[in-house]
Amino acid sequence: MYDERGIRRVVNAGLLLAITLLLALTRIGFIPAPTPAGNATIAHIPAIVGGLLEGPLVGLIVGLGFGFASFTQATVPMFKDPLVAILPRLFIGVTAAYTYLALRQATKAQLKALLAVLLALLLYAAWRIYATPNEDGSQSVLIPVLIAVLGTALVAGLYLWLGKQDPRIVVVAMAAAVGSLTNTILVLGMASLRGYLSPAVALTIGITHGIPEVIIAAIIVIAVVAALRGLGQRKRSRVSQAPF
Amino acid sequence: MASYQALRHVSIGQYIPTGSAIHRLDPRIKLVCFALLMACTVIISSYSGSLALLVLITSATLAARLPLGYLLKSLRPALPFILVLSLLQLLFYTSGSGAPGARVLFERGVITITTASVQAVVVALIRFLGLLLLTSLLTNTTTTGDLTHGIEHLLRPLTRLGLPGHELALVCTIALRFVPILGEQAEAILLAQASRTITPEPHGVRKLVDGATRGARLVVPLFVDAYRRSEELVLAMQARCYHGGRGRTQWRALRLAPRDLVALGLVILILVGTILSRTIVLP
Amino acid sequence: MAEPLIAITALRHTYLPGTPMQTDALRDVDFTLHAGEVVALVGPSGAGKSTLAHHMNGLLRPAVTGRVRVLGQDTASRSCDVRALRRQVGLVFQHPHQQMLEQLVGDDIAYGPAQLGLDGAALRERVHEAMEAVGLPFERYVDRQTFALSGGEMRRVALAGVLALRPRVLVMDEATTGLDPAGKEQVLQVVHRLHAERGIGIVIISNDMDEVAGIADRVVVLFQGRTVADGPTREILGPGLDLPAHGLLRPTAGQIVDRLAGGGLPIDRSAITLAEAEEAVWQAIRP
Repeated sequence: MYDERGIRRVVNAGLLLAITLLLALTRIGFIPAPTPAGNATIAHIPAIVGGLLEGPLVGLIVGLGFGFASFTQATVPMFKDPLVAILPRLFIGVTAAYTYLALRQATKAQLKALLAVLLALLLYAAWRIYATPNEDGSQSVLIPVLIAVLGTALVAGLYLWLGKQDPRIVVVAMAAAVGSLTNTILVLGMASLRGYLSPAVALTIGITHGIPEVIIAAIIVIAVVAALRGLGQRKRSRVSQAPF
Repeated sequence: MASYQALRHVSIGQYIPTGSAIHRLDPRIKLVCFALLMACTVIISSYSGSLALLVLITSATLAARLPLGYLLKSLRPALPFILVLSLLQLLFYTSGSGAPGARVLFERGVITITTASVQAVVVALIRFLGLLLLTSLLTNTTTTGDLTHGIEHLLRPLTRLGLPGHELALVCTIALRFVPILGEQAEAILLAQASRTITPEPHGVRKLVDGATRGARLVVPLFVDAYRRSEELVLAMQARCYHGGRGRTQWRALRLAPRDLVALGLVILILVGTILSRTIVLP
Repeated sequence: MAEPLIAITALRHTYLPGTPMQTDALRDVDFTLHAGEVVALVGPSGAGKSTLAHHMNGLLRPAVTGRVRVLGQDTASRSCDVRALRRQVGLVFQHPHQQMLEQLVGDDIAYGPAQLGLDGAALRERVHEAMEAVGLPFERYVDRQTFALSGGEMRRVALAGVLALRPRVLVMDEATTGLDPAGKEQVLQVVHRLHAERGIGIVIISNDMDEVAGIADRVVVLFQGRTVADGPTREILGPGLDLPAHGLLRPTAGQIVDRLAGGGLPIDRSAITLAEAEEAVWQAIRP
């Protein structure tokens, strides 16, 4: 910890934690979004950025800070439970970090292959949910259809986007998405495990709340990383006359 | 607009000085007790256990001479949510209905209410109140400076285990120190960007896109500013030959007093009692 | 006389009322701005200058007492559309990076006019015009990254972004503070040109008395949230007023002639620019 890199990590962790506290404890951490709550949180974004730019350890620390701040602000029993508010949040920065580390060097072709595999897995999962009957003998139709449709849309969108974009940006977006989903899935999963929500309700909230949050997180994280690391910046202003 | 001005005064809980014995406890003890009692609330699941815990926590809050009414005031706007969510939990709770001895009280269609689900909901509410008071017990009786000191001291022994204890404490100190500074920045950014907003607030879907972009526009300059400050701080630390935690001395030393050990002893007893209560099934 | 662009009377503003952090930023302030005027708002730090500026474009509205009329509208009334007001009253802040909304210079300056519906060649023309006005060559700067600019350049981009809307009132909050002499000069040139060409009303918030002497028609002095002086520049910066009592000093030229007069030289103390001071010294030493 005596070298510049170590000091830098400590200081950056501290500042990202400061931003997290600011976002988690005031209303600027919530932006209006088409979710059941009417807004989506962006207080988990510093944890994602920390994981991406500084590594999993920083992501863990900032995530812990987010969890604790969120816990102190909670006004409903579900979120005042430390296992729901704090424990899952540890992993936001960690998953984002490892996703980024794993895919950072990938080429477009490799990413496209990955997307294809992802789509295959989603469709398989959807089919399995459809094929296995419920406890009362009925067959769930809505959920597998949702998964199939959303999954295909998502993968197709990413595929097209990859076509005309720097792969590193797509990787950042995917890492951000993974981080945000970690937040949604683990928190709601924990809430369900602890008995506050039934799995069906948790899944519904997960989809209606999680998807807008993922999109917002991806947009903001890309903007932040672009501003800080000079990655994937647009070259021409809309009023510029120079040819592309 | 007026709420902009509060951003620089953000804090986790307001310090309320009342001069009670609890205020004078060593912050390390308070932190440890907080963590242990929090663990207790998580473990407990019986009516009597959670009620006992709530009573204990409430007595501690009263002993600290904290105004209970004020602490519970923050619940008022959330009351409808709490009721609705508790109701939903009651009606659709599934993970405990198979518990031994659970009697079905009401069953119609997908809705099943058993004694187990009622217990879960009630205990959750009691636990929630307990945690609420516990958190204020920590944050309202300890100044931010003391809290950071306590955290730093507690994290130090971790260094012997190979974990970066001192560095973690430094992370906390830096974070808390920069919250008001970044808050001021955020205020200024909000004002400056509001000055450039000249079209009326859109409705419907446009409103959501607008809100999201505005959120992004606020956050990005904040990150840029934070990173600029971090560069400066890194340089400053290097200029002062920062070399980690070894051999560093403190301006203020923390010392344990007998009352700290008494408090710790009590909490450990409570924890032991909680763990035992899980092994012996209580009503 | 035509109705003033801005008319503020008996304004009071308290930050965070009812909390332990309550502060009275403005206690009793009067302020007017007419078309074609350059008014300097001066005062020591904490006097309330920025707070007053924030009332001028509706960021803050009178809550306790006082009236703020901007371009004929009462900002306290519910029917006042503050967002529309901001098209006409441009506010430039001291720290330009807080005002940046886009990654690229061209996009940032275009942000305002684009919101009004301008597009294509018309938009480009407007951005071009604004950039020329602040001395930033279009071709060289339009595709640059906003966050990578120097302080002075960023400040001019912020100014251009405001000018692109062709406001009727321009409020510059400490717009030259922290700039090097060349940068300051550039910004002041812009203000001169605007004043001459467009006849818009300009409010300059500054602590640089030399700058104020060179550009303002009228000076308003704010001290501890109150208007303590309001008059023509020559009068306020002249020997008659006790500026140090209000945390301010006369312009350098004024200080020089004051000291010379204090040392016994029979010199006319009304100089406020260096040229005037030089003239006064020559007058005083020639028999």
